Amino acid sequence: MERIQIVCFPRALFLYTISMTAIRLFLLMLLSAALSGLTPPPVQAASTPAPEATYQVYLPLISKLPYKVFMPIILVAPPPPPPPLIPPYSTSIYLNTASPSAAYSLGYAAGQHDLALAGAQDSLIILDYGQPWEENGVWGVAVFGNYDFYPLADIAASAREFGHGYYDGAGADTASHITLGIGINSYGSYGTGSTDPAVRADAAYEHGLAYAAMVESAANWVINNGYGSQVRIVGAKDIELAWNKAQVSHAWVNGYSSYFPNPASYHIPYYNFGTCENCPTRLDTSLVPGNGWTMEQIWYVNWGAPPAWPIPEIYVTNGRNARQWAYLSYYAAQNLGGAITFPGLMTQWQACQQNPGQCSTLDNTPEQGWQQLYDEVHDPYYGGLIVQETIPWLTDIKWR
Amino acid sequence: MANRHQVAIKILGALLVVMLLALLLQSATARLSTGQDALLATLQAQRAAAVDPTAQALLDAKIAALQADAAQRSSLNNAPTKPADPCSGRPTDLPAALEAEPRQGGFIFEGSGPFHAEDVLVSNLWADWINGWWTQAYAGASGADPAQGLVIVRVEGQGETRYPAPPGSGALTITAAAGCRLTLQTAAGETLYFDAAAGQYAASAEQVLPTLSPRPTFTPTPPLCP
Repeated sequence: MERIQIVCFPRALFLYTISMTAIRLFLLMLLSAALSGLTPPPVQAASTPAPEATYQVYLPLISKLPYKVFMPIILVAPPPPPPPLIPPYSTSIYLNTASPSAAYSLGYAAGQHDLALAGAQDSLIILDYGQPWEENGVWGVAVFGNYDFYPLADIAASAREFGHGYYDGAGADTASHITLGIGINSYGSYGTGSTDPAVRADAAYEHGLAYAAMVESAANWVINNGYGSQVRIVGAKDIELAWNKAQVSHAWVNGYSSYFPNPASYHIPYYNFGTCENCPTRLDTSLVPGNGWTMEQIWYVNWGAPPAWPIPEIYVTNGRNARQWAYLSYYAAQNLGGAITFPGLMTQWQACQQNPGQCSTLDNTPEQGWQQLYDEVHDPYYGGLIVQETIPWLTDIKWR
Repeated sequence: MANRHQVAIKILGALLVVMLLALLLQSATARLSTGQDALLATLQAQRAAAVDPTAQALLDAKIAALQADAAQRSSLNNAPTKPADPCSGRPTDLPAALEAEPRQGGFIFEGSGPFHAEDVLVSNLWADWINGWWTQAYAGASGADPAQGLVIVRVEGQGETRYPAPPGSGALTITAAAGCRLTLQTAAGETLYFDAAAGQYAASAEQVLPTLSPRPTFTPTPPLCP
């Protein structure tokens, strides 16, 4: 509630006549204030006790012909800081098909969604196709629905048609924009059938290298076909600690990174929509990350590799996931040269609605997930080291 | 006096116009500012404060990516005309194999499923058609309690049901399938049987179990284009 206090002076002090020159000077002052951001300069009112030092004083002009001017003093308390603006969430999708026409329809629907919203949207959408695989020397993906193998070229065809569909579906809205992540997870043997991390790592490196080439080809297709003003294609990877040893997931990341000879000047990012299972938190710093991963190894696949950006899964309703990721950023700030910047986060609320009752503690709404991470990076525990005023992207995943 | 009055009113009017214009300008500037701009500013501030050359190089790479993104957004204006009919834009010249979904069931695959690792640790999965519904059964353990084995049956478009194994079983793995009867191995090497059509564990590979009630007829979402 904005507090307004009007200080009334004796009438004799209010009523006086001033010359037109004085009026012009006053108008000039207001004009100057308007041009400098519409914030009137604070004026110290010596006779008015200020209950708070930051009160601002406005001098509205009330004139009464012929040029009798009343200048009551109105003190306005500074407004409280606005609540953080939670961005609208986009919908990411677990794909159970690599059909390009199905992807076009999904993209078209996403475009129609943004068209219906007021203003220009800027969002991240991740298409999660499944898990990395290889058959007969061809790198590809085992797609969720039937775990059939699709070469990377087919995955690219599907994803770019999603972008095409978005562009068409957005219609008259030519200002909205999506960053479209072509996603897979980090599970399994990469087609080797081996449980040996060294064998898997060799395959993972090659898969990452091929994956970066595929992402770049899809990104260029979107640009060359004129959809680039509204669609940007990037990589995406769901790296979860339990799904492979760090050696294997690092190899994939290194393969992806190595596709770009000079990543400091050019690369296409990948967004890791992963987890930090059993990572320490400010409530329990003794926890140890799962499956033998170290904090530095987790940092590397999320931030330390040049193309890496984290989109943490903030699923758990008690805030534990947000604490895990904030603590990872805190660890990085203290030990690895700087905090992690989170461009966004993911929830799975819609997927939970599709499976009622099956994720009772993992069904943060998008807004809850966002608020948890935002609040956590502002927690005093971290001493201001990981504060981030903006977390621009919020995406919620569901099944096709 | 009247002339001065008119001048004063004109000045006040001009002031009002200027203030409105300033408001509009401020609003337009806000619309142009995106979250990516804020991220870029955050990283540039970090870069200015960084002293470690490795950290500086890393931040340079991140900043370059954001700047490339901004450049792409602002420079690409050769957009083609958007069709009023979405079906006219739908791809038509794609390999037929990609459009078909010849789902062949009855396989066992080393797949993860869409589960958060803190929720479920999947060992592998089986998939097949049951009464016209594409059904997947995931075997593994609870992420919160790895000693608790479980099977998750997911029916596409219908949701999923979880079936905990006897306590202390550890992670389950599917080792064989005969029809909908799955043979499972516990972490300790014991054998269990699970019937995906009945939705329950069986005492043996041969035990007869009632099949679950038929599900309602599958009604797919109408396609965008015929």
